[in-house]
Amino acid sequence: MRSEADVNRAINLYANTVRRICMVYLKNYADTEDIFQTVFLKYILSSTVFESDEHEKAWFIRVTINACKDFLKSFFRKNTVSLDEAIPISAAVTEDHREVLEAVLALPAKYREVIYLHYYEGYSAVEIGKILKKNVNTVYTLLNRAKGQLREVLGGDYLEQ
Amino acid sequence: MNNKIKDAFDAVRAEDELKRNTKQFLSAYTAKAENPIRYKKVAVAFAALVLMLLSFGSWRSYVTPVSAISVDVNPSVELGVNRFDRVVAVDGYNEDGTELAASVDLKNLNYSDALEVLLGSEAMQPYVAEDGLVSITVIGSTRQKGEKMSNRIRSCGYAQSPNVECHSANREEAEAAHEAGMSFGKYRAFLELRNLAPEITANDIQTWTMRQIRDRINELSDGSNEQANRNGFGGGYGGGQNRKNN
Repeated sequence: MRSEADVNRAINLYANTVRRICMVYLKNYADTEDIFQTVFLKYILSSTVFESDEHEKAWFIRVTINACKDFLKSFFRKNTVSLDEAIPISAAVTEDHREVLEAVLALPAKYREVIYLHYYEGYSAVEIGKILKKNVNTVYTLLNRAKGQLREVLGGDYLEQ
Repeated sequence: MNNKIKDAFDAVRAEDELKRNTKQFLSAYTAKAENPIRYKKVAVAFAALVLMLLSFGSWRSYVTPVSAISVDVNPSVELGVNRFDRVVAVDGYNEDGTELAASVDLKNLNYSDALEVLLGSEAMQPYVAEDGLVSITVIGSTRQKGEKMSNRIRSCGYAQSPNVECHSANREEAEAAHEAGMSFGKYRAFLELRNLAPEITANDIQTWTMRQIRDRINELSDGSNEQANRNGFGGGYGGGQNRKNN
């Protein structure tokens, strides 16, 4: 079991990453809190030795994605309707950013995740394939389609930049 | 698009409240995990064990007779009395006695109440009606306890009748009585009778009533002895001492 100091360091380092993934997958804040607890609890209990910061970050991304997917699959989630279905974009985000985020979050889940992993975390299609346990070619296809849809929503000029 | 998306995602930050709540949750979790649960379990198990032993112990001390009261008319019945002065065992020492023991429920009564119930019971009436002599002998766990018990019995209404005699005895005498197959009230009378008429055996008096034995003793003994015995019947503990002097 990891020490409290270890956990606090991990929260300070990876809270934002976990928060962003939660935004990609989940629709409300209360669920996000659940995922936070699940992910960092897993970190406390895990005995994985990380070879590098990159390795550790990838572990957090992987675990968070799994936690979100498990959560969405759960019986409770499938059989209840949340009162708070608003997309949880923090109020601190500026209007410009909000437009982009809303466009990304409006995409189907399978496009959202690849867009996030590719454009934000900077993973290659091969790496995304490993994280999501998907075929590389599938990832390419998903990325292309996702880009196409975003282009439609946000306009061509976003693509050029 | 690349930078726009990156910038947009970059603007998303984990709220301080979220971080704080997560830290709180986790430190509560680690505190619970580090705070030896095992120790808690051991403590609970230990408490349960102590409780079990205590309840077993008190149950044992309740059901274990420490004193005994022998009631002899012709039926011979012995009441086992626990340290809380409650009757926990009723044994018959001859056929009539067994029958009598089975017919009245004396368990868990205070010994003096139990005697009152026993002597007043339907089953007892035929024996006491015909001028039967009731001999009550107390064997206390200690000498003081025996005296206390016989004093208490003597102060009760049923002991005021001239047909009721009350003694106390000690443990060795009681054991000897049991070896001879008699309740100790009867055994005591038997010893007394055998002093006067050595030819009498335990078998002979097995079917005699206490009245018959007492009458026989009176017949055989002279006036002064009778006087001493009389004191014994009425005087309780004094009876035991008189006999020792013999």
